Amino acid sequence: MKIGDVISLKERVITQEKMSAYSGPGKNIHTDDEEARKVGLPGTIAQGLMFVNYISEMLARTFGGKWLEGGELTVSFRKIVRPGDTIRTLGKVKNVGNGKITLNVWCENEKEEIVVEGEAIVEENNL
Amino acid sequence: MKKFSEADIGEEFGPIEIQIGDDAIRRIKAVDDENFWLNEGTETKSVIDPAILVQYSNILKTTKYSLEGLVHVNQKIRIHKAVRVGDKFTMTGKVTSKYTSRTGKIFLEFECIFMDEGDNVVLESKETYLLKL
Repeated sequence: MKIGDVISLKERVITQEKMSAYSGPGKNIHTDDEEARKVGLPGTIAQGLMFVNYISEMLARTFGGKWLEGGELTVSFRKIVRPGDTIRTLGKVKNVGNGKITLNVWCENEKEEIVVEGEAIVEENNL
Repeated sequence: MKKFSEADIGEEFGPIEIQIGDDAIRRIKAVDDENFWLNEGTETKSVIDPAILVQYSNILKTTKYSLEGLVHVNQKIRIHKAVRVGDKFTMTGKVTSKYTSRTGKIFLEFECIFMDEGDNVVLESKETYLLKL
């Protein structure tokens, strides 16, 4: 891989069914509108860790088992994601060297608003 | 039950044992639209996303505290080993930091380590929460 290379995952549509399967069982802000409204949210929101899984899948698809034995990921959760939103997951190589590949990684919604962003590191020696 | 925001720096949680079974499979399927990790009928011993382990750190926190008022703002993971359906892990956690930002917001950091049955580190996780007091 070289600086500027872009990787991505197929778009995912977020549904309440997926959110409930991921964040249930039980009522919480990800599974129950009433619980979400109690804390000032407009309704249920997707759990941020879903997008950590999307990014991790993208990296596993790209770097294979090497991602799964030495990968590092740091992300910040920027915006809420609601049922019906469509999420694109992307990465762009920002540095190759010192035995590592570093990528900017992010998830964006259908309005191209970044909902999760961060950095991933894969050990080049593992490749 | 006390809120997690009341936890002290250095406070430890666990150990608790977990096994990657039906619960984890359900969660993986919820994010596995293209069956990258799991194909129907092939779940046994399938390699799954190690990041799914982070979900289980809530089990540690809720042994002592409620999660009310926590907003998950940042997540760091370091993966050491692949994870398979059926694997057993021991997880431990620790509150490593609590600080106030320049804008007056209070943050708490919680670190969690997942070890396999051979005492090898499989995943390290660091979660940062904004505390809504």
